Amino acid sequence: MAGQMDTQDEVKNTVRVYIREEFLPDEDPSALADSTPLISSGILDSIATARLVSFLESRFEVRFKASEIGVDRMDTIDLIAATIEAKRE
Amino acid sequence: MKTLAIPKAAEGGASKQDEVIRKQAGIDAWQYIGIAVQVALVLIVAVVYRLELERGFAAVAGLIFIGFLIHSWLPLPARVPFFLSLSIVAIAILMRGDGVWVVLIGFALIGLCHLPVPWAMNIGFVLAAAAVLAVLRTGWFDTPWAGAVIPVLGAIFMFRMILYLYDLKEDRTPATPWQRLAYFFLLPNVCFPLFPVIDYKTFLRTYYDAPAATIYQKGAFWMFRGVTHLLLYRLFYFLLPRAETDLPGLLGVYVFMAMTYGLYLRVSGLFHLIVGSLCLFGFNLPVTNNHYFLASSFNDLWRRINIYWKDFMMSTAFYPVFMTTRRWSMGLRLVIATAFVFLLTWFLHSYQWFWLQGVFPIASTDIFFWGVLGVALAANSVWEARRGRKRSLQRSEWSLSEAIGVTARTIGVFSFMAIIWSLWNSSSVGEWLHRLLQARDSGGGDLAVFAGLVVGALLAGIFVHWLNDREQGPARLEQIARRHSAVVVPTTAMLLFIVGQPQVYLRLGDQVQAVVTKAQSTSLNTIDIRRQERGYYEALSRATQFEATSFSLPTQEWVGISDTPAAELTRDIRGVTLKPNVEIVYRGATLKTNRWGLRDRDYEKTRPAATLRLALLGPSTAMGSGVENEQIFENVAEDGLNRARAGSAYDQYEILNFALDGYGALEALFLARHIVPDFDPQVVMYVIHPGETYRMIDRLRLRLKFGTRMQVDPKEQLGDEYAPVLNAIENSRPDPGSAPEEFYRRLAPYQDEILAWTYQGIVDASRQQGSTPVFVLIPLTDRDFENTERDMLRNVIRKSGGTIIELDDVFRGYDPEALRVAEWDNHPNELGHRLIGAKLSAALLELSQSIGSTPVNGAHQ
Repeated sequence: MAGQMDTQDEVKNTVRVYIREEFLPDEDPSALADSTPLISSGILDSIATARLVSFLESRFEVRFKASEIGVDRMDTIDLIAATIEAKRE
Repeated sequence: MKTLAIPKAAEGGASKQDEVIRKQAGIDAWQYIGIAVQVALVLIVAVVYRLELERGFAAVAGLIFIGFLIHSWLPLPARVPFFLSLSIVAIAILMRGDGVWVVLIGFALIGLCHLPVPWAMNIGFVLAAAAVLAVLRTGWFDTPWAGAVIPVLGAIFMFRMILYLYDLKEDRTPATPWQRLAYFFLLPNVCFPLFPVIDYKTFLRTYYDAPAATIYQKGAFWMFRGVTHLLLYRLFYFLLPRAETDLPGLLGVYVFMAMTYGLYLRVSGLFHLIVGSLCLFGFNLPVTNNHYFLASSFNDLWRRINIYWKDFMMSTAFYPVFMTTRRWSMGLRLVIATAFVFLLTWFLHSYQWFWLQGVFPIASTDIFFWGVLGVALAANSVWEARRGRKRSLQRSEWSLSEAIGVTARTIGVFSFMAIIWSLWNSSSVGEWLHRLLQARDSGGGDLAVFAGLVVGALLAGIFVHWLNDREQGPARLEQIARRHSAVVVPTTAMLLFIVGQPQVYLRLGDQVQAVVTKAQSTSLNTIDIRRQERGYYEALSRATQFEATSFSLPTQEWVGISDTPAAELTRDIRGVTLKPNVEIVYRGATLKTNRWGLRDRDYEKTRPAATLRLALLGPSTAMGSGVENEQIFENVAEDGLNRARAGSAYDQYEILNFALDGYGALEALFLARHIVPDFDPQVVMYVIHPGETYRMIDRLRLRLKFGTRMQVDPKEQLGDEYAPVLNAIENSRPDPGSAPEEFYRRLAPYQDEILAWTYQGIVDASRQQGSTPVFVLIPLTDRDFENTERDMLRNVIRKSGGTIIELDDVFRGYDPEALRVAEWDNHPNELGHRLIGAKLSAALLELSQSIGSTPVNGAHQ
């Protein structure tokens, strides 16, 4: 599916599903909110973050710079969605 | 009680973020007073236990406290400028005139980043400036200020400049000029060259991002944790040699390695202290180290130990490599990025030591350590990428299998790290292998004890997991300590302060006294003393020897005597002598030789009439390592004797100094036989320090090692006159190229025999020339003779017919720190030599009255 077709809610949902399936498979789905800290809480370590970035790039056809990977732009699903939206603009 | 609100007038045109900060920056006055008391107590404990005082932490601690008292009352816009001013005051206090260079060059470097040119040119300018500073750091040019200034500049800029330039290129995070300057001039940096790599964006983002009281309390708590880590480090450091000597086989090897790994507490202690003190000024920086001994995988360890370094490597190495290898498979990308991180970490480790010490160490132990750790982490990364790592948003439920797994993995990672960490800390791979192979000496009982301890650790770990699940374990205790840190910190700090007072610990029994005095001691342990002594001959850089345990390192000028232009190599057992009529700077002092190649005043070869001439033989202390010629104790004693000669049978006294760094009993015997007789002394004195026998054997190893390099056969070096030593070598077949401990172990059965034969040789050679042989026992500044060694030496000297002068109490009542040349060098300084000289002249005065007759009270046979 082309990245441009996703609304921000769809982006959030896609990211949420990916994180849940890849990194939190045994968790209660409702425990992962859009504002749940991901990197600063340790849910996403460097390897998980790298894998997530790789997924986002291929799924939404965007390109991340190395300097964009970190707490500032990727600590929550909200932030990730906003970053992707900013890139697609 | 009023709240320290931020004055409205100070707000100016504050942005929304500024408004948030302004709201956070106020604090209730009672809370503020309580935190100030905690900070004061923690800093007092640090000073009472002499933690990290070598580079001026006492002054910086005072500034931290006074600064904290003032800072919280200032309007918000004035706080960062005040912090910056405080940092510059610290530089001025500790560096005086040299501090001007640090500030000016520092400002200039930051200015280069902001020249209105393309970013690549900014980089070029900064690199050019760094190249100039690097050349000055090598010492190729005579710039008097460079030795003091460049290490501090290096400590400030070597990593943070990389992050700053990276931000200027990628993000240009908004910041005021004050914040930019404060990022570099961070208050404790001037006394702590080894500093956490604070991320620029994090530094800006976390400024008052929580209520001030929370940040300040966190700061006080972390400083307290830092102090406890540093105290534990001290105890580990001094207990380490006992693990080597007191515990048998595998258990001893394991405990030694585990305690070596435990020495990392010094780094985590320092980082807690540093980051905690920055919290007191509103910089709510994240945790630096987090229970790293409890890591249950290599990736987990990487996430817990030196977190700032991990983040630095992630942003500047891992992600850039990962993002430029998109076409490759995930596993390969992870491996390549991880490998690059460890290659860079190894390089930057040496780069760091270059700026701090002026040497760029390339050691096999470094390469092995980072290589093995890199491979382990890369493998772990691929495994986690494929198999996943268990993560949880909530507390996971208790499971016995999970507890067993986590505990076993924790023990495994800890043990693995202890093994490779001990390698990293070894002088060579050979020394490490020798230590490792001592595990072969384990008997069945030792192995059973070791296995029992492993099982015990496993059960203890499972029990702790079970307790934690019921919220009754250490995790709960830590939560309580954090929550009530306003009570825990001052109470414990007060207790430590009270126990640290001599009036208290002297009444609490020998065990407590021993623990407290070790915790307050800044001396080297016996392992490092031996390494230090070996370093004189082997001319190894001390920076490579002490890097993991000590950060108070000497400069590159601290070379061995054989590496100086004053040295002349010989093919005999001495290995090296001094050239005549040379003048050099050696270990910070002027070393001048006379026409006979002695580090001494000028004397005629023929003894003048009515003169009592004494020849002094011995090692570095007798040569006066680190002090001026005139300050050496033999000159002090000579002057003392000449002042007190009234009523004596002699018109004057002369003490001729034949001593040299590294000379021991075997070299003294050579001098007594071949060199000294030409000068016709009536007394031949040989100086002995604690560790005499070990030193003699180790010197022998080095002589043979150097002989091998110079292609000199041991028989030629030692000659027929050292036949008993040659026999011992032939019988024990030690390899001079092996680890020092292995060489010593092989020759140990012969050491008493060799020592007795050597002392007898000195006595006989002296008597043949009509001299009285005297053996002078002088303690080290931080180490007395142990009773067993003293008794053994007395016995051997008595049997040989020599006279003993014991200066055991020469340093009694003095702080070892006040007596040594430098924090990394326990040789006596000018005061130490003065004390030895005064005691020695008194003893010699008595002796001189009995030359040729029976000895008197001051000296005895």
